[in-house]
Amino acid sequence: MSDPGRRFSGLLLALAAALVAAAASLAVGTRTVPLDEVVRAFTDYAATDDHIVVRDLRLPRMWLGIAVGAALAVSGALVQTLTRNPLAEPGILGVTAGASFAILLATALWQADAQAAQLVAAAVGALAATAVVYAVGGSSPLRLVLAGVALSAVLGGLGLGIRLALPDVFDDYRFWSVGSLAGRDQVPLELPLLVIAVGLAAALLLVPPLDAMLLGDEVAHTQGTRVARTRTITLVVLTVLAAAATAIAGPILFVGLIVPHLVRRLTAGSVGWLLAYCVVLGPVLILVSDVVARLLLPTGEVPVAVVTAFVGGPVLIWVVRRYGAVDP
Amino acid sequence: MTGLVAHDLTLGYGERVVSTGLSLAVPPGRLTAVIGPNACGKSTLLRALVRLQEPRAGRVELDGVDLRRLRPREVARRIGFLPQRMVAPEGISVTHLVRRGRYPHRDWRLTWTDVDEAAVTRALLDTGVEDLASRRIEELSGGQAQRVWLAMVLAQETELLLLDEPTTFLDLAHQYDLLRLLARLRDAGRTVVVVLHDVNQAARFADHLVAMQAGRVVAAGAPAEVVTADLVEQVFGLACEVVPDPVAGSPMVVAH
Repeated sequence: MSDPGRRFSGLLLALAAALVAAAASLAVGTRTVPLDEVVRAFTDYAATDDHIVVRDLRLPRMWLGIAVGAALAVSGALVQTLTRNPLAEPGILGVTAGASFAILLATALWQADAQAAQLVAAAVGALAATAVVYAVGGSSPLRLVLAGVALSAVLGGLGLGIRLALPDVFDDYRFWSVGSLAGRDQVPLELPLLVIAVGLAAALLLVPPLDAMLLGDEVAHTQGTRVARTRTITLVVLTVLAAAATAIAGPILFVGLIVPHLVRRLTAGSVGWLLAYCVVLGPVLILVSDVVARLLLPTGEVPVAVVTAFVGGPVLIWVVRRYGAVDP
Repeated sequence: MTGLVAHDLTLGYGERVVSTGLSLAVPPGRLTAVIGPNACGKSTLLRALVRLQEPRAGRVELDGVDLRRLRPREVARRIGFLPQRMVAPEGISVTHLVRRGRYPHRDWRLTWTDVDEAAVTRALLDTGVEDLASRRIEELSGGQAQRVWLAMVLAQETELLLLDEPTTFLDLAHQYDLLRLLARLRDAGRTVVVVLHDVNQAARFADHLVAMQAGRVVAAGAPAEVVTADLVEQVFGLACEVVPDPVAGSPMVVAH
């Protein structure tokens, strides 16, 4: 089959997987709801316990998973494209470290343990860290990564100091830091969800110039792309996406590494296809991980970040062993 | 002044100044070859002519307008550039790569027109890579890849074409194929500027020869006037005789 044909049918498969994952995330959990009852909760709502669980508890969580998964995967695709590093993830630009440190700091200084406050702190921290990384790293992809890694190390050390010195802070932080979709429904999520929607739309507009930049900065430049401007906007978009997702769900950045890395071999040479696959498969990984998390520990909830890592990790290792790594 | 003209350029990287007071007029509709020893500033000059290198002083004009005042896309529709080294996204096919050359001509909807298709087909034919169209770029030899890159730049369909040492990765026969192709493009009305290492090839194929040394233009003009034993001695530090090329009659350098 031709490349475009294969890409298209692959995307249809991915969409089907996404539908299955979404249905599972509505049906499966401590209280398993039969699929026909899930459908009835939307078509013929009767306020039964099943319907309430599906509509009021699981539906918001599903949307959350979709938004977080799409944001992280697209953010990862952008950072891998920008740094020409197939193993890059948004965390190497300091996003996670900034968000984590800001939450620690806010908790330590103002006892800001409300989730809304944590959300704001995470967003501010992530953006501030990226601003610093960009100021230091400038336009060189390698320097950006070095600056991100260095800043992450510094913030990680400082954060560890705070946690050791103030055990109360450690307790509050721990809940956020494991990365979960649970209990995130008590906070206003409209704003971060809106931010993610805007970020994804902006990523779409970046496709043509990023496609040109796959041929190297020189060629992109002589083809009329504004290289420096594209790089700056891409950096802002990917940071905002990762920051919003991290603020909502904690540091589940592994999704941002593995999803774009895996679909790269299907979409090589086309940023548009890469992003399309990421928008669909990022949510699949998050939703499946969330469902597995609920099944593994029905009462206490295994955080989704833990599951994404142990679902995704072996897959990544298998693919790399089977097919070898692929450059962006 | 029409065409591409550099006025009194100062060029450099960081602390290092490569050129000062560098001026050059590219004759429209002709094939210009730039020659000179390694690190004499040939590539830097070419980069300045395509906006890749911002001049510290001076300006580059296209039909009398400063390049910095033109929109990048507008410049891209008029000046094509083949750098020394290219980066290919892995897994991309030759056709898709050559299609990328149409980027400056496409609007935000990215519609693919008959004009785009015709330009790509012509570029594949001109460079003789039409048989490779469905192959992946990483499967190609260095010489084949070089011709594909050239096809991509040709698909851009610019009146000006600048190439930085395009013959480097090619074997001898393909070097001449490429030079003949450049001559045909010139005959078709395009303005070509090419950096070449081989003085004999430059003298044989160029209408206009620019010899550079230490960031300056030492001589410019018809090959027969520029290529002399004294100039080669001065520019390359090579003692030589200059004799007529037995095939083309152009000046040919033979080292002592």
